[in-house]
Amino acid sequence: MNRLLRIEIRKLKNSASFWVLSGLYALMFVFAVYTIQNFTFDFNFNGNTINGGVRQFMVFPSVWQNMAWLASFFRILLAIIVITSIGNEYMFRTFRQGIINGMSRTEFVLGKVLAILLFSLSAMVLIFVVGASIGLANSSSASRFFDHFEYIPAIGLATLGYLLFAAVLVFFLKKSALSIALLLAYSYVIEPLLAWRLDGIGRYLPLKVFDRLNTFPYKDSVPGMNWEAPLVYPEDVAVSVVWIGLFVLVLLACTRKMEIR
Amino acid sequence: MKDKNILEVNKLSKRYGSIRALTDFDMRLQSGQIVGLLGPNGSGKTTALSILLGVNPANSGSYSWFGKSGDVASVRRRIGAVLEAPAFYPYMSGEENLKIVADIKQADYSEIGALLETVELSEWRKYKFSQYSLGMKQRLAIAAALLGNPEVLILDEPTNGLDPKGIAEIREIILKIGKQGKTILLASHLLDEVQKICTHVHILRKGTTLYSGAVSEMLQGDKCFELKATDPQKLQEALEKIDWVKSVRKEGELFVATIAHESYVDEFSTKLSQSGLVLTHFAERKGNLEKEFLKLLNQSES
Repeated sequence: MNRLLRIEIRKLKNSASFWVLSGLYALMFVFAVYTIQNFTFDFNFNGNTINGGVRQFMVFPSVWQNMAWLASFFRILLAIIVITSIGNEYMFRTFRQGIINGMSRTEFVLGKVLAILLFSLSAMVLIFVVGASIGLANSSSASRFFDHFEYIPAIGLATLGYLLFAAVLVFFLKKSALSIALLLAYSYVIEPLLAWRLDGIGRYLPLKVFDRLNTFPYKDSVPGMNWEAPLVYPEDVAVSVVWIGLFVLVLLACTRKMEIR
Repeated sequence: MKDKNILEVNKLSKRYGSIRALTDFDMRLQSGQIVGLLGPNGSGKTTALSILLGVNPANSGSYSWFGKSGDVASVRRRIGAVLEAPAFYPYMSGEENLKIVADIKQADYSEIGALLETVELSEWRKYKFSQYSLGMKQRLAIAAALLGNPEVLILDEPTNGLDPKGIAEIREIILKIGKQGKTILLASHLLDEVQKICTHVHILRKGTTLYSGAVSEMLQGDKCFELKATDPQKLQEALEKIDWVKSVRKEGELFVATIAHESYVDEFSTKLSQSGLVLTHFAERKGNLEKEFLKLLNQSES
């Protein structure tokens, strides 16, 4: 386990594109958060005038959901890291050489899964740190610090699922550019269409489920609306865990017998 | 130790669609042997090796390394192998790349310094792999293969694409390693290379084995002699009179005569001296693997 992670970390820490992309992820997220909190709004809703500043939502407990939702915009950058790091193994033929050198196929896949786990955890920690600092700055007290904290592990789970989905794509397609294109096409076109056609079960499609773990926080945020705050539903968590398990199994199974060139 | 079975291959076959890349491939590798896997491009050498190294599943047949059958990762850590072009992370230095290999093989990082010394890359260890010349890449691959002090070394066309200086350097390294008593499997289409380095040879063509055995045995059979005499005319007549001299041809000043079997060698010289010839040159010509190889290829063609 340790050895597999050490190998993956060495590959990453020497890679300029890893530092650029992960730096971009962190910077863009932090920049977005600190910019958006200064926004104000003034609009009419059902005859009520609603106005105020975004800052008023950057308080406990709604800050966690807001952070999770904002962070999900930048996850494509993490997916690009995952996809290129696996696509490169095919391109450089280091996947093949790694097996020749004495890795098993299972170990190779597990190394990548561990790296993805590390990305998801790091993203979660970043979101937590940014959320905590901005929440503490804007809230009058920290007494509700842990209210709705479930959004933080939920965004971790959603990121893990999304990145594993990207890994499945590139393990099959073997090419980075193709996989990124397909990931985008799937996220924005194919799955929404599928979900629409598969009325009923469409809501269980993987990215739909992961997205529900960090939905747009309007219900919780807009004052004067008496809607129930969206929570992290246990059903979505369970379905996400099933998808994640399935992705790992698919990765292990599909690499088991294939010819590695 | 000498007879320890390193590798046993039993009827491996691989098809790509209708093309039979490898048919009933059998091979044995024993400790200390230096075996050449010889064959023209596309004859199945790399297919065979990639099956034996777990990257390409066979359609049928079996193999076992060190008595353990099939695709076992821990067994591969006892093998150092370079298949085709060296594969490393181009954006990483030679040294960092070797650290990854060391982690995979569960070898100690402390071996890296000495190995880089062996392949003469110490000065380049901090440079990126992508900046290396082809020869340097090939040498790094050999260093990687030697990590973890493997019992067997598998090299696939290690001098491919190199300039003469690079070829000489690589051969020198291989010979140096061979002298340390390591078992080596060298796939090559260069006969000269195999003849110079290997003790045994396994010849493949279109996925089937044409010959397998010791190099020395392969070169036996016909014996070739170079002769020169003060009277060339008389020499030629004398040679043509002996019925077990299979052929006589002239190469400049020299006559080259092939005799049917080595048991005639003693008789050969007495016969010639009896005919009153004054020989100024009489030497056995060493068998030539290239000729034997081409002969085998031609036989299988017809």
